[in-house]
Amino acid sequence: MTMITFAARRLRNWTLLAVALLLASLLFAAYGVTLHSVKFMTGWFLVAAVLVLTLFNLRKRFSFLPLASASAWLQFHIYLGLFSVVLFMIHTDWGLPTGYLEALLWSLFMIVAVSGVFGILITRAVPELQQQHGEQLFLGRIPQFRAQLADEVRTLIIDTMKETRTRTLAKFYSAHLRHYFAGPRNFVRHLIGSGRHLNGLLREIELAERYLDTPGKAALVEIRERVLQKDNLDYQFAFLMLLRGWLFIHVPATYSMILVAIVHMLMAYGYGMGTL
Amino acid sequence: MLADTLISRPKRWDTPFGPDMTDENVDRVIALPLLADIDAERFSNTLSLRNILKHDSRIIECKRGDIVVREGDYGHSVFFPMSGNLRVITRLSAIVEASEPILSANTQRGRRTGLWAAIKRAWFNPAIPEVRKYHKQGGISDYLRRVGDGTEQESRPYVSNVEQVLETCETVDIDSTDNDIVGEIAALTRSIRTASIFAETNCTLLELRWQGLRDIRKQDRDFRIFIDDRYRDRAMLRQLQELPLLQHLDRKVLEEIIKHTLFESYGDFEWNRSYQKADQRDWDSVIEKEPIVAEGGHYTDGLLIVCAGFGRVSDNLDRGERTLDYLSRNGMFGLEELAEHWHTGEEVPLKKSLRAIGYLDILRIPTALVEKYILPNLPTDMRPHINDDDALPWEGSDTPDRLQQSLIDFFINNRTINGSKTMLINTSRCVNCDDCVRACAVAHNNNPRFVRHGPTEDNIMIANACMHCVDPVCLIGCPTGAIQRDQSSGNIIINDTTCIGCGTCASSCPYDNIQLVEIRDVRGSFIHDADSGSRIVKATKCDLCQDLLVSPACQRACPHDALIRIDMNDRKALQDWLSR
Repeated sequence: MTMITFAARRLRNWTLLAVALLLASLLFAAYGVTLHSVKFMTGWFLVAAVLVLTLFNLRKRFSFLPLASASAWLQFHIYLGLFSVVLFMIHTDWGLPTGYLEALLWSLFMIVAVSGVFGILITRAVPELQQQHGEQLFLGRIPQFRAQLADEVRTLIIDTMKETRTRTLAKFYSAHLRHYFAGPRNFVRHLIGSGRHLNGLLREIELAERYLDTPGKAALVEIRERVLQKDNLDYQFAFLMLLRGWLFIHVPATYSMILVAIVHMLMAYGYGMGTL
Repeated sequence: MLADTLISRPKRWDTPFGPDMTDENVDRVIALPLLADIDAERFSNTLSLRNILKHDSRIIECKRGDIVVREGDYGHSVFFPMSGNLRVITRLSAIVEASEPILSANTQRGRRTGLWAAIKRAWFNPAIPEVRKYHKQGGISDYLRRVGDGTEQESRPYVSNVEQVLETCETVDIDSTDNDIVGEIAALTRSIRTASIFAETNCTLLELRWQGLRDIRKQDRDFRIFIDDRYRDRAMLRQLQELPLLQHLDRKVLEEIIKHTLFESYGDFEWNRSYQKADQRDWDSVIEKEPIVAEGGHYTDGLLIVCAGFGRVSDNLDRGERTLDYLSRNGMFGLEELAEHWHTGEEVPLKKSLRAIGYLDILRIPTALVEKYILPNLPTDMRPHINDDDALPWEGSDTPDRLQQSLIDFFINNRTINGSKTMLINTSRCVNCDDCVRACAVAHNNNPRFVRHGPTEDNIMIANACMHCVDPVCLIGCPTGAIQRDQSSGNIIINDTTCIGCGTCASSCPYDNIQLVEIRDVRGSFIHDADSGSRIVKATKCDLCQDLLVSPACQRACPHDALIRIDMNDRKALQDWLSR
């Protein structure tokens, strides 16, 4: 079986989306000619689309059933999601909401849509960034590696102190390293690509070097190496958390939106029967 | 506190190969001419010849037309005709292919769970790891019998029109008086059956499974030589017959080529031992240790064709050997140079070297025959491309199928080329969501059967998942045959019931893809051996979800197209995936 390239698949899916939007527009226009309210139709289309989109999460639990691959589902999810955004815009007349309920529903939809687009962008970009930065790690193993590094640095400092009676390293450890190795650090700086925190710490290491004798300097070289390793851990941690974190906005917002949409539907039918 | 479950530790011969091997039957079998000469004194008391035959062999009664083995199926046993006649089909006629699909198409399908059972997995999988359903009152033998009863029943396929097959197909007669064996190619190379064999008359056969064959071969030199000679002759014959290069030649020419072709073996059948010892990162020493089959710069005396195993094609670049490609079954070496010699009349030395990766069986067709019969009659599309020696090193691509050099080295040095379902992960697309691991766990009673971790080159990771190897060395040492190839799919599977937890397969696997796990009963208590008190362990690994409605779950669960199970010898699929 020939494997379709990602570029060809993208082209095919965008074409299908364009065709689907064109057909939907024609359908709505034709329905409008019959003097029926197009809003009810676009509304029901939206309900159906959102329900199908929600099924993707359910599909993940049933990977052993013949329900097409998760990859195919994700593609469908992405393009149906984009279709829904246009549909939503048509439904809201490309304008802003007026009432409180509509404003809430509009906001939730936007949160779902924007977080979805953000999600797909980072799932494509983050693995590449992680790979360029250093060894890719499992989220679950990062605390273990971090504890190991912290332990190594502490042992190194204690051993050097015993050997050389240096106070510089002890002070340096309590001022800069203990906190640095105690947990994940510089989360936002890693996400925005800033290296200020690392440069600052490396500069402090350079400054400390002049107060040390040869064994102390050798220990500092080792410490510097571990600082760099810890920085990679923090980097990987920040992006792995980002990869998981966006779903904590996307999924709850989706279910909230469905609940508000049900209320919206009831109200629309309650107050708008005359327009049918 | 709940009491632990105690059972007798499973042993090698708890489940004999055949249920009806009585002492009388063993006497009957041991008197067969091929076995009668074996010196029983060479065998130990615990692993005596009688015991091996009693537990690792069975007697099969076949009716006229019954198919004994079928081309394309997988099997690990050899057959000794005790009475009657067998026919080996060496070439199927079109008429028989159409009228007897049972002979050419694999119609068997493994048992799969139903839809409801599949849905239940999502909610009713045990929360405790490695649970085995075990009835305390029954004991392990009841458990074996209960499961065994369900799996041992088999129905034998048959040829409906024996006369037509005999008249229209090319067949070879195997008479019980010939004192011959059949089925040794698949048994020795752990590969597919290369020909279909059926009973020409009602006949009785002794089927000896791999475990017995292995142990007898090990103890008796003459028996080993006999089996190996048979393997050499027949493997060569079968391969030359199926080789596309020779398809256009007539029967007489083919017979002459077969007569003069040499069969050569390099390396070690059980290559995994030396592989595990070697440091794979030290590429130069790895290459140096590989037996040279043909060396670049030397003249070749024939066309080399890979019969079994893998070969490394390399050239000498300044001070080191650069790997260019790898060859598997039916791969050819030296054709370009022979064609150039035939074309120009000048002696052309080999431009590349061929080494055995692990073990390599090759066929050597003498130059004179290649030039006389093969090259002049070669269809245009099969003619080799003759390289331009004046081309600068960076011009053109001498790396077949455009695989990146680092990846070629990576795949070969890690022996990933052995995989028919290797799990590759594109780390540039993997978002660590673990959907693949979760899907695997759900499919296996909450026990993931792979680790999403492994050697990585650039953005390609070879995950720790059974690769379902072309040459599965894990099968060699299994004392019970619990680890085996599925007859129809060829996937490597473990029969949990007959696994005795000895760990031979796990230590043989060069890739550490088999894990030994301590099993528990449904209450979560470990199951212990009643005698020693130690915990019972079982070997586990990826089974490609072969009892699921759709498989493999890991690949189907990956939403980002990061994970694939791929045949490393399907170069096009590999290249397509890598450059996707």
